[in-house]
Amino acid sequence: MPAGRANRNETFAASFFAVAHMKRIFAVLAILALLGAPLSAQTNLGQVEIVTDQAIKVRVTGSTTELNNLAIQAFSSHGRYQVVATGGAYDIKFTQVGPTQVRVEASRGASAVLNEVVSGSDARNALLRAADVAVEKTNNAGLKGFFAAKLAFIQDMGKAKEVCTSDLFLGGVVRQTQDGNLALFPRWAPDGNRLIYTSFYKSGFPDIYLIDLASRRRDLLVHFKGTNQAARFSPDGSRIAMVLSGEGNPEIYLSNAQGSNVTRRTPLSREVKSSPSFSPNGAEIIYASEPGPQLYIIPVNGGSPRRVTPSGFATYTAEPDWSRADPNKIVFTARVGGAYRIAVLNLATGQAKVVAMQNAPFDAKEPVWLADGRHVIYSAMARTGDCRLCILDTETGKSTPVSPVSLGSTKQASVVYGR
Amino acid sequence: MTHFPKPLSFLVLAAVSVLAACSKTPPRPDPSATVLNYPDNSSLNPQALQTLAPGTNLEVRDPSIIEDANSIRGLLKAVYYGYDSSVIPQEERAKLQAAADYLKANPNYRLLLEGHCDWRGTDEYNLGLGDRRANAAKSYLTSIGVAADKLEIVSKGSLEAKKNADEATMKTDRRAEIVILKTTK
Repeated sequence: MPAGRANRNETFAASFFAVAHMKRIFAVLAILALLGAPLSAQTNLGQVEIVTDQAIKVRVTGSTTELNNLAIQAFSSHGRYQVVATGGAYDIKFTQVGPTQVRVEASRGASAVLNEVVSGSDARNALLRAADVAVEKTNNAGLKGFFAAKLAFIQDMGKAKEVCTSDLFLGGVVRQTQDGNLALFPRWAPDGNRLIYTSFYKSGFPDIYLIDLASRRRDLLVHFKGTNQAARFSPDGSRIAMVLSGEGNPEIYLSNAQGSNVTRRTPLSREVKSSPSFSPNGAEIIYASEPGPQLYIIPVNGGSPRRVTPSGFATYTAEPDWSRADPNKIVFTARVGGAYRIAVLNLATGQAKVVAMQNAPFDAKEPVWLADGRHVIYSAMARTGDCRLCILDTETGKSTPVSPVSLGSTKQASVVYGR
Repeated sequence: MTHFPKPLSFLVLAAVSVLAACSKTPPRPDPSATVLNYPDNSSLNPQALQTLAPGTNLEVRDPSIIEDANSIRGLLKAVYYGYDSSVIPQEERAKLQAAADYLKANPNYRLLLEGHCDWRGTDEYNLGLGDRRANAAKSYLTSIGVAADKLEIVSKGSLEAKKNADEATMKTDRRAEIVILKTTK
């Protein structure tokens, strides 16, 4: 068992960079003082600092202030690593060598283990890609890197909820909608160029929209009577799973990539279905269904649902996400002793476990796997309803906020990899 | 379990967290400065025809149904539900009878049944539960003689629910609003 310990008042990074950022800190503190309590919940919302004896100590440096900070932020969010100022097992250096290129060098003692130039869409992206290469060279557990993901999420401003995109550490945030309406549940298409989401825009009813980021075109894809929501692409992009209620009850439906040839996949009943997610090979769908809800799997081409959450585990299980990295792993939201927590189901053993987060005083919901099949990004939710996106290591319970307080309430993450 | 630190420790914690957050977080552009606007309505491309597989009975929604100045909210009383339930309690049925009577007296009007949930749970599931509640009200109304084409349903899930609400408030959030649509059909 790794020995977990709460470690709220460090950090190396804090003391190291405090001086350079004094002015901004005072500005933020002043704002805090003005606004009072509501922001107080957000400043440490989502933070659970855990260092285990399994963690690999690394010294991480970058050639510019931004790259240095980003590299430290990235490695600090990774449960396999502990960022230290001196005495690391590895010394990892990032040097910007062009507008979109970063050299990554890693050494263990006197011996070099990595020296490579990595390209990206910009310097930040190149740094995150280079850091992924460094993770793959140094983690000694066969983990893939996950830093260079593209993120989509909802910025929740109450009556206005907008779809935003950014990198995993909230660099380059772009508001993709500006409707002043209720936009929900954005999901990337596997090509990373399109987003599918639910919105009350125009009609006042929940409909499913598709944004093509390259052409700046938006299509109203699914607009049947009733509720049309929670659409997700299959891993190959050829199909869309969604929840429609037009036949009288929220059931799981499939369509082609254009939202046509719509067909119901769950038997019409009086039990609410939600949150369909495809298996990595696209052959099955996991979803949540009443009573409970509990999690069920159905074959995409039809067949009987089978319950997969173990009986007695939790009375409320929802929002499953099927891992691409490990087809046996499902991450989901479970209600445990009055709090909402992230849990992982292992399909091979049929066992589920709650990720221990040291009685963190917030709810954890909406988990989505990152590329290594070990970390997830999720929404930490304060009792005020304010949400913040955080990276969680499902093995150690280390939780690191990634969305800045300045963005307000942020939730419902989706990630995609590749260019 | 204490949910928030006491005021003094909060200040210390907040200061430490802010320090940590600032030191790790480079300045970012204001997202509103990089907003991308879609060119007016021309960017909305509703598909003319959504095809259905055989045996699937979905109807495309009439795009003219929209809540606007031609709707009346609050005249008919909302129906309240139990926790995590879409069953219409016995004592709430008179409200649906009143709604049916109102429609009989105003034969050109229609009703929008708008389902809501309290703040607990998860957003996707609650959007479904709100739909279930609205549909349960619709089923009851059709069972007492209201034509199905007089009824529209929508779910707001927990989107408008009061956060961190007490039990009394949560009770009022678990409801189906009955909105009168004056648009004729």
